[in-house]
This record gives sequence, structure tokens and C-alpha cells, in this order.
Amino acid sequence: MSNPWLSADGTRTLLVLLGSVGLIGAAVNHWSPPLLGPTLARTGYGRAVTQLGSRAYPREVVDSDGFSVRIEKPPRRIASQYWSIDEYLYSIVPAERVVTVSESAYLRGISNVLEPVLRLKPVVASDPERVMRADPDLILVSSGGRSDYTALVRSSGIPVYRMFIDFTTLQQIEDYIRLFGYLTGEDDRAEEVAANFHAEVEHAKSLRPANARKPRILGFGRPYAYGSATLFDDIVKVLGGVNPAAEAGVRGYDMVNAEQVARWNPEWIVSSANEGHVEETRKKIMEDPGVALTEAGRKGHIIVLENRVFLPMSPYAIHRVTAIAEALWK
Amino acid sequence: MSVTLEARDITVERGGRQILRAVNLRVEPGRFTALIGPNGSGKSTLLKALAGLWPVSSGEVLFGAQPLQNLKRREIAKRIAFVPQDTRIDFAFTVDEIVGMGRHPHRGRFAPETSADREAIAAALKRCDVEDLRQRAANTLSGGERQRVLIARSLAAQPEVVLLDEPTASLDIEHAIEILDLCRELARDGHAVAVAIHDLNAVARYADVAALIDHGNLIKVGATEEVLSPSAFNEVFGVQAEVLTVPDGSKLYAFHRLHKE
Amino acid sequence: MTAPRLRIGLFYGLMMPALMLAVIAAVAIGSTPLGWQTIVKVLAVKILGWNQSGISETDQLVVWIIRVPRVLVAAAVGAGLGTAGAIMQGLFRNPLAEPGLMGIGPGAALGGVIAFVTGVSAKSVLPLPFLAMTGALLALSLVYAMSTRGGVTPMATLLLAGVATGSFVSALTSLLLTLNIANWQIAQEVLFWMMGGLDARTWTHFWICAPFVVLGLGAALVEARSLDLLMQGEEAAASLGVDVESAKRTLIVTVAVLTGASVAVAGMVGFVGLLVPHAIRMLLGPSHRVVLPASALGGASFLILCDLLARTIHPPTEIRLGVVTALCGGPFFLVLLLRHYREASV
Repeated sequence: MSNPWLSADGTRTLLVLLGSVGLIGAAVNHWSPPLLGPTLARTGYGRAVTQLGSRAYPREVVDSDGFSVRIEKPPRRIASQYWSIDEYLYSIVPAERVVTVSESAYLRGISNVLEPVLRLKPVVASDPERVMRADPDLILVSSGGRSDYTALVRSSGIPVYRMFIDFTTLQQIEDYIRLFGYLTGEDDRAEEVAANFHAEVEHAKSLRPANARKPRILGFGRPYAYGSATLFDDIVKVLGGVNPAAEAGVRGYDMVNAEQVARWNPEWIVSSANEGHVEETRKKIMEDPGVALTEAGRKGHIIVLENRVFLPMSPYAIHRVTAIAEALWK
Repeated sequence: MSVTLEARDITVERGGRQILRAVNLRVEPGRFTALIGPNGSGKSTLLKALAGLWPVSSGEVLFGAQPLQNLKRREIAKRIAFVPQDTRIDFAFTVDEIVGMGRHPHRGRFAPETSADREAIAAALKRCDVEDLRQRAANTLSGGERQRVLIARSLAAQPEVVLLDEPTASLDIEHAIEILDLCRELARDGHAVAVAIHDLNAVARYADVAALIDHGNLIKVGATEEVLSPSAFNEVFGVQAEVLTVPDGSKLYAFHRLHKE
Repeated sequence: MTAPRLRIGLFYGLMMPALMLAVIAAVAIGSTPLGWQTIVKVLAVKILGWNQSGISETDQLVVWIIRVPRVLVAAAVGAGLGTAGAIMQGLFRNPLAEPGLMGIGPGAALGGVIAFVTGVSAKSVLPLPFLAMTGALLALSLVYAMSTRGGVTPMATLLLAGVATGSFVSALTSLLLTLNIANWQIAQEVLFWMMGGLDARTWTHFWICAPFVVLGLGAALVEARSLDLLMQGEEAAASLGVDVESAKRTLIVTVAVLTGASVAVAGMVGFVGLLVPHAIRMLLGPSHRVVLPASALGGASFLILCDLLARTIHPPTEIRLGVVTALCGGPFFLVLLLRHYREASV
């Protein structure tokens, strides 16, 4: 035995094993295309899709996984699995058509759709069996959700649309309002909602005085900040501000330390808090050592919004835009 | 036909150390060969090399004319039996099952027990006087019973050579004598028997041939009486002996520490 | 001692129907009401090709797409872990050994966590099991390479290398988690996976796991007699004609394959490999030709029942499967330990 680390037989066995695992993986991939699909080569959480086809039925739409989903007629029983999707649906379709919702829809502190949900009591979508029992004719799952759940519902034969949900611009949200209209057959209503959304964004922008300097606005919740490629960053841009974290090269929602915050010296800090904890959170942020050294900290320019207002990445995001604009300039 | 097991000029290394150095030893059929020497001298290693369990770095072990290297593991197991020193068994196999395992070299992977197997097992149990223990669980046996069962296991393979590593080390007097009597019988029956053993008086009474090993070297091999000499006691074991002759003719040694000059 | 033929026959005679009943019960009990008659009808339609009339589409979907795959995966994973545990206890000659000792579990966990944090697990069903299995095999190869010199693998060294590698790999897993903890959805999914679970299992998961379990059990049965002999001591086994290193290698790799396939589709589920073979050995004796298949059968039944408990103890929440097996197994393990030490000191 010349190789002191691994006897020849051992290496051979291992190579055979890894080879077999690879072969079996390839075989299963070959024989179950609906489950693997065209997704392997992509990176990130699916693609945003905004190409809409003709209004005639049957309609074909491509989802975030690249699958083409066929909708034979306007759906009447729509299953949602994610909280942003709930919010889109309730903005566009009659509430009775939503048969399943995410768990968050029932949570007081986060849900923007509590009223219809408590009234109509749709099933919570975490259990695929209950989703099946609700007899949906269209199932909407999120691109960041579990793939085995997705595969399971896809194997039922009911049309399943995997929805991109990592929105980073207000324009994407507006486009997706129209996509939801296309998916659900409520095209006209969706057009209305999209136009409204656009108008309210313009209104928020108009609050800014003509000669105002570009305010430095930082989205911060210890120890994380919102960098570039986030919806917050886009909101700051749209409102004519500057995001110091993005400027400094922070990408996405990432950890920052007190020193960085101090150095960036934002004029405004925006944060979120649980329902009823707004003041408490404001106080905590003021006490942060980095914040204390910033202009925002010294002048008390800390905007704290409840989670229900701050977090949504759906038509309800408009409240975040309006709240920040009003805090800055009203 | 019984053949001689021979170590020809073998050197055994382990972890960079030489444990046996150029050792030559013949284990002949019909003889009781004792391997003696102080702790760490290499007796166990020599037995294991003879059994083909440890590889030799130079020289070869020959069985008849055949080097052991050329024989398959199973072939060796059919003809050379090795009874190890560690006899602890944690699991509840019955004596019958354990002795039955001795038939492994003769059985195919999935072959059921044949009548030949059953006869060999019965004969081995009888030979070692453990028939009554057949259905007992192995982890309930006493030290002596266990040792006999292990020898029975080796005998079930119907080997020509039986090698035993310290078979009497943890036994009381009665059981030690039983084992040694059994070994002598096996030798008389034509088996080649080699035993690594500490008890020099037992060696004097039972062994035909003695091989004295110290620090991996074979110091002397020959008739027991010649090997058990005063110089062997002094230089190798560091003791002194007074010799007494027992009525049946065999020698008895009383040992004590070497007096400093 | 190995139980007489009668007891073994009785065991299989009772266990196999018990397993069938467990399967039917587990399929019958779920989050929405479903009568067992409906279940039998659906099975008849799907397996025997009977006429579909009289059964709603939804009932068929629920039984055939949601419930049956889950129970079958539970059976496959239980069988795999039971067999792996039996082999480990034989290899290490210790009734307290279990599959997690050779670093395989932590390796599979690392593979799984990599699948989660890179996002590949969200895109498709296969990357997670594949990476978990690869992690398991790579960890084993590392452990094996570290403890093998000149073709010989001493079991004590293997154990130490396994524990050391396991700790190191677990540290890497924690590191990955820390770097990604901002994404709470990933963090939650990882946590749930590492506690084991059979929710949302599909036929794909069954076909990923079952062939490996069958292969593993087969390989183990081929070496069953070698295992019996190895339990007498490696030197004794060698002197009785066993190619010790080759047998050990086959068995170690088999444990890795069985454990890897189980973790790939069920996450980290512990205690099955410890308890089931031990109980089987207490009932039926130590001979591996009996213990191996019986442990597979026992493991399958045990895990089906644990999964049933996990779903029904606290509806609508599903308790994680690893938690249930630990809650059932922990006390039993303590009892075993006490008995072992009491007997050893006698």
C-alpha cells in the first residue's frame, strides 16, 4: 500500500459511489421534468416577468421558474401561499375568490388584509392537504418558497404559478399589479389599481419642495441596513433622496456596524417596529452609539413605521412611500 | 496430511519499529511447541505472523512448500487456526452459534449448515468438553468455559495447525491444566500446536519444543529441557531458578530474583 | 441467543401485518377527514386499475399525491436508519453505537445547509437531497481517509476521526447559518430541516430514497455473516477466513449510503438507529441474518408511527419528526444506558 491516505480500494469505492449518485440524479432529472424544469441554470430567486399576452382565453403566462402556465378561464377560487401575494389579490379581486392565504394574513401586527380574512376565514396554505380541499383553480406560490411544496402542488394538475416576490423597484410592483390582473382575469380592475398606485407615488414625490437638497436617508434596524437592490433604496431614489448605505457599496439587506453608520452621517433614519412599540424602538435607535453621532440622531430625525406599513412589497407599499414623504416634508 | 508451518527469516515491522528480526521457526505436526519470552518480546506477533494475520516485511511464512501469501484467506483459515487472547464477548450468541462460526471457512456465503458442518461442530464441542454449554449465552460463561469454547470454535474448522495466544493467562489452576492437557492431546493426534505462554513450569511439563524469544530475536529453539537453561533464566528473564525433579521425571523450577553480585 | 425459529416466525408474522396496519392508519389519519374506505378505493384505482367513478378528484389527489408518498418515505427512511444502526452496533461491537458517529450526519447537514443558503433548494426539489447525500459521502470519505493506513482501518481511530470531523463540519454549518441569518425565511427553513420532518414529501422523494435503502439492506445482508464474525473480534474473524478490511469497508460505505439517503429526504432524524436494532436484538438475539431485516422492518414501523404522532399531537401544528423520535427515544436510551452499566458492574 503506497498511498498512506487512502487505500486504492477505498478511492475506487468512493468514486463509484459519487458516480452512482450523479447517475441516479441525472436519471431522476430525466424522467421527472415537471419537477426539475428549466430552473437549474438560473441564479437568484427566479425572474421578474412582465410580458403579458393577449386577453383572449386560454391565456399562457411564464412564471418565475420559467414554466409556462396555462389558464383556461378566469379563475374563481384562487389559492395564495405568501403574504405579499395575499395583499395583491385582495387589492384586485373580490375577496370571496381568495380561498387560501398565508399564515401572516391572520397576524394582527403584520397583516394588511385582516378584515376580509377574519370575515371570510380562508384556509391557511401551509398544509397542502387543506389547500387541495379548498378546491382551487389557480395556485400562486412564491419564488422563495419551498420547492418540495411547489412540486407537490404542481403534481396535482391544478395550474400553479410561481410568483416572483423579491421586488426591488416600485415600477416592478406596478407592473405586477397588471400581471395579477392578467392571471386572475380582473384586467380592468388591475389597471385601475395600478393607475392609482402610480398617481399616489407621484403625489408623494410632489410633496418635496422644488429647491430642497437631496436628503440622506438611511434604512436601519440594528444591526442591519438597506443597501442597493432593495425596495427601500428605490423609494429613497424616487423621493429624490440619497441612500448612504448604497453609496457605500452595501448590497441588499446586510449587516452594518455603528462606525459605518456614524461615518455615513444620514440626515434621516427610517426603521420599523412591532405594533405598539414605535416609541420604544425610536428610543432604542437614538441610543445606538453610531446613530448618536449622526445628524439624524442629533436632530431626532428618526422615522419609525409600524411593520404593517414598512414591510409590504405589494400595492400596500404605497403607505411606506407616503409615510416617509410626509415625515420628510409635511 | 499434516505439513509443517515454517517462518523463514521473517522480519515484522509495525509503526516503524521492528518487532521481529530475522526469526526462523518450524512448527511441526505432532509436536507441542511453546513460545516463551518476557513481555513485549514478540511472542504474540510471531504467532500472528505464522497464522498469516500480520504481514511480514521480509522473509516468508511457508505452509508445506507454499508461501502463505499465495493462499487465499479462506484456504488458510481451513488449515491454520488461531485462538486469540482477548476472549471478551459482549453479545448473547450461544455457544452453539459461536462454535458454528468456526465452520465459516468451509461454508459458502449463504450456504445453510450441512451435516458435515454439524458433525464437525459436535466433535469440537465434545473435544473441548463444552457440550453441556451448547445453549448457554456466551456472555454468561466463566473465563475457563469461554476459553474452551473458543478453542472448540477453532477446532470446528478441522485445522491442521492450532496456534494459541496465552490461553491460560486468566485461568485458575484447574482450567489451566484442562487447556494444557487438551493442547497436548491435539499434538498427539497429529496437529501442529504452538502456544505462546508465560508459565515456564507448564512449558516444562507439556512442551516438546520451546522457542525462546527476546526483543524480537529468536534466542534459542530446541527441546524444552535444553532451552530452559540457567543462562536463559538469567539473561533473558532476569531470574534465577532452582531445579527439582518430580517423581514422573519432569522438571519443576522455583524462581526467584537474580542476586546482585 | 438467537431466538428459536418459532419466535422469529412469530415476529415476522406479527410485524408485517403491523406494518401494513401502520401504513393504512397513517394514510387514513391526516389534517382533513378521509374515511378508510375511500383510501382503499383510491389505492385500488391507482394500483389495481379499478374504475374511478364514485371517488372525487380531490380525494384521489389527497391520498395518492399527499398522504401515500409521505408514509412510504417514512417507511423507507425508518428502514434505512434501522439497518444502518444495526450495522454500526455490529461494527463497533457496542450496543450504544449509532449512525451519527462517523461524521455522516453532520456532513449531510452541511450539504443541506449549503443547498438552503445558496438558494438552489428553493428552485427545485432535487438539489437539497443531492447535496445532503454528497455531503454525507464526502464526510465519510474524509473520515475514512484520515483513519486508514496501509489499507487497515482501526475502529477506534475511525470513531475518533468521525467525532472530530463531525464537530468541525458542524462548526462550518453554524458559520454558514450566521452569515445568512438576516434572511429569516432561510433561517427558519434550515432550522426546521435540521430537526427532521416529512412534510410535503412527494413521490420523487420516495424514489430518491428507496433504491438506496434496498441496495444498502442488500449489501448488508451479503455481509451479515461477516458482521457476526467481526463481533468476535477482528483477529478472530480474520483467522476464520473473513477479509476483514474489505468487509469493514463495504459495511461502512453501506452505513453512509443508508444514512445519507435518509437525511436527504427527511432531514436529521435521530434515535431510530440507536433504539430499533437494540430492541430487535433484545427480542431476537444477535445474529445479523435476523437482526438486519428485522431492524429494517421495525425501523419502518417505528418511524411511520412517530410521523403519525408528529402530525396529530398538536394539530394543526406539525411537531418536527426529529423532536418526536428524540422524545420517544431519549428516555428509552437512558434506560438502556442504566441497564448496560448495571450489568457491566455486576
